[in-house]
Order: sequence, then C-alpha cells, then structure tokens
Amino acid sequence: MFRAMNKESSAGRVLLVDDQPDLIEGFRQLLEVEGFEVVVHTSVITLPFTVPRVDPDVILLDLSLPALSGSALLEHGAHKILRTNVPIILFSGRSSTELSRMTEELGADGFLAKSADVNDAVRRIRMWVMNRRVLSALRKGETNHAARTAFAVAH
Amino acid sequence: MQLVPHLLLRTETLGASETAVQLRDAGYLVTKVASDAELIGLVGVSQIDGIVIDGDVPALVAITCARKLHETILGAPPMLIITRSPEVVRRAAKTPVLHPLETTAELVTSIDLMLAMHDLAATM
Repeated sequence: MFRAMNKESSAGRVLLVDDQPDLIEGFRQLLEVEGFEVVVHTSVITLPFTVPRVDPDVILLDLSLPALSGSALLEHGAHKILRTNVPIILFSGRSSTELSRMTEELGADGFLAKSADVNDAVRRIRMWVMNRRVLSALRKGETNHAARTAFAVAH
Repeated sequence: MQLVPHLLLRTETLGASETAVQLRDAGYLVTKVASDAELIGLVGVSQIDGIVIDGDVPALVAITCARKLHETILGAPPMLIITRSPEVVRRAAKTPVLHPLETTAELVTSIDLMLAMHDLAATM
C-alpha cells in the first residue's frame, strides 16, 4: 500500500514502472539514499489508476513489460491516457542512440539508459523533478513558488 | 557547467524534433519548451546551461525571444538559434546561429563550443 510522504520535503517522487526485481531494488535503494521517494509499479495496464493516486514528479517507464509494454502505452498517447503532464522517461537497456530517437518518436520527455552511470542517473532525475515542479508552478502563475521549489530540489 | 549539461530547446513542434534527437544522443539533457514565458521562467529558477531555438521557430519569434531573455535575465545562459535566415538573425539577436542544413554536421560541436566559451568567459 502506497503511503505518500510530504512530496515537497523529498527530492522528488519517482514512479518506477519495471518488472525486474533486482534492478528495482537496486535502483530504489540508490534513489532513496539520494532523498527521493520511490514508488514501484510492475504493470502498465493499471497505470492510469496508479498515477493520480501516487501523483509522481517523474515516471520511469520500462519499454519491455509483459502484457502491455511501455512503448505501446506511449504509442497510444501516454500523457493523455494517464491524464498527466508529468515527465515520462524511457527506462531501458537499449543504446542511447536508439533511445534518443525513440524518445522523440514516442513523445516521451527523455530517456535513462539502464546502463547509465549512477551519478548521471541521479542528476538527470533531479533535473526532471525540478523542471516538472517549476513548470507546474509557472503554469499556475506561482513564480515565487517556482523559485522556492527549484531551490529546494537543487539543495 | 554541470556534469549533465542541461539545455532548453524552444520549439513550436509538438511532434518529434531531430534537434532533440541529436542533442540527447550526444549526452545532453534536453527539456523542450513551447513558449517564451516557460523558457524565461525556467531560466530564471532552474539550472540551465544553454538554450537552443529550433529551426521550426520563425526568425522573428526567435529574435524576440533572444532579446526578451537578455532584457529579463542578467547573465542568461548562452543561446544558439537554428534558422533559415542565419545572417539576419545573427545581426539582430547577437547570438550564434546555424542553418538547418548545417545541423547534422555541426549542431553538437557548436553547442559544445558555445558552452565551453561561456564557461571560460565566466572564469575570466
């Protein structure tokens, strides 16, 4: 059962959609040490119900899940289906050349290769969280809040 | 500059951007923004290393965006504009420019160089 922390007090809430237990555990530990709150989900099918409940800052979506893959979700318009403007990041073992192209073709917001350097991965996730919070505040016209949010995530 | 350089890509295309593909493949973290307000808002409060205005943005909009940015934010990050009218835009916006036909060969090198020059200037 997912219990939300105060999102503002964490480095960000990451929804990790993957089904590889070893990778999930390692990645969860890494991100939690860095102050992120990590929620794991193993299926794309129930994602439309999970996303509003979890209210993540960023979604890391594995491309090759059983039943319905992450790429199939994106091909059908993931942001619309999930009713969210949260960054959706491709999370895959494919090459960065392939992922760069897939990011654009599938309408995702970025990619994170599973083979990425861990420092690099943390920095990228921190940046996606910050962008999401800042853009969200800007769209609501909360300029001061956006500045405070950016400062809080950066430090 | 951060270890993962963060670029804002101002674009008017909702679909795929070849510029974004190239930059992400080169290791840049790219955030696409569809308006000047979002771009200036992010530059003001987020950690941005550079800005690229994509070739789909009309030249006049690109020039206005560059001017607005420099008027609004002191010490704004460096900007590169991709445009079919490079000479005119270079004179009007006073920023580096690239013609869309040059991007395949020169985009990543131009960005690398622009960021390095900006860092160098900041340390002098």
